[in-house]
Amino acid sequence: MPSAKRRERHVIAANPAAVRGLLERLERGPALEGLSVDARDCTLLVLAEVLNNVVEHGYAGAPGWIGLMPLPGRPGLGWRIVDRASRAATPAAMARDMPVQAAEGGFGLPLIRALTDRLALRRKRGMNILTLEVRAEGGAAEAGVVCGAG
Amino acid sequence: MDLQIEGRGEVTVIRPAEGRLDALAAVAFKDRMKAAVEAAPGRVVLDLSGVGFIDSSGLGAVVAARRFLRAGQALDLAGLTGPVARVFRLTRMDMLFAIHAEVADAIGEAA
Repeated sequence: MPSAKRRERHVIAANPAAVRGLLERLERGPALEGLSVDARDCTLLVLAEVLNNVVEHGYAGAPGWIGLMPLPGRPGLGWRIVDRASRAATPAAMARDMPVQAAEGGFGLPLIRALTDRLALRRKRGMNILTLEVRAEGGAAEAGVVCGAG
Repeated sequence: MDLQIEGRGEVTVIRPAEGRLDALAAVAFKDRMKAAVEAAPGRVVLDLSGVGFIDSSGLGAVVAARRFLRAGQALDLAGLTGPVARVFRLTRMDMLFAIHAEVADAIGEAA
């Protein structure tokens, strides 16, 4: 088992191609290999939404970087995402409900909330630091969706 | 994001050529869906059996494709994989579409 100091960390450019590349590497790599298929899929979806949110709304087209590292204790499910975007999701945006009618956007943050147990955003020394834990199981049970702990 | 387009009688079946319908692919997907839907003579079935990952941008692009339909024209979905079905269920956008297990079901052919 890798030690905490050797745990994988990733830093990518803040653009959609880099986000896709990172997700594909995570899918193939060891970080998610202990999870069930459902838990892995939910984790990849949550990370996609978080990273794309930083690209689209945080940096909003400006160049930048995003760091991603796993949290100890919840292998594959706990993550920290760090960026230096000048904008971050507001508490109101974080609490937004899923759109109720045909919508072409506004799903990202509600999806993240539906699939996570813990979600905390803080700003420190000019950086946005988001910590999250993907729901181990029973995620959005009302929608018949179970992530599963593996 | 290229699309494979196949006419089956009055039904047009559209298949994304890539396995990811994500933020990187969404804009091109929507543009090509617009052209494909406008050229389709009637009902359109979007075959998502080859798509293993969709995010909210990809979902938004699928929902947006409904805007390109003419009066009386329908857009159905078929072949949703597990991760794709999950996103439609969680967002309740599965309520917007007729969803078929396979393309053959959507066009009334024996499998």
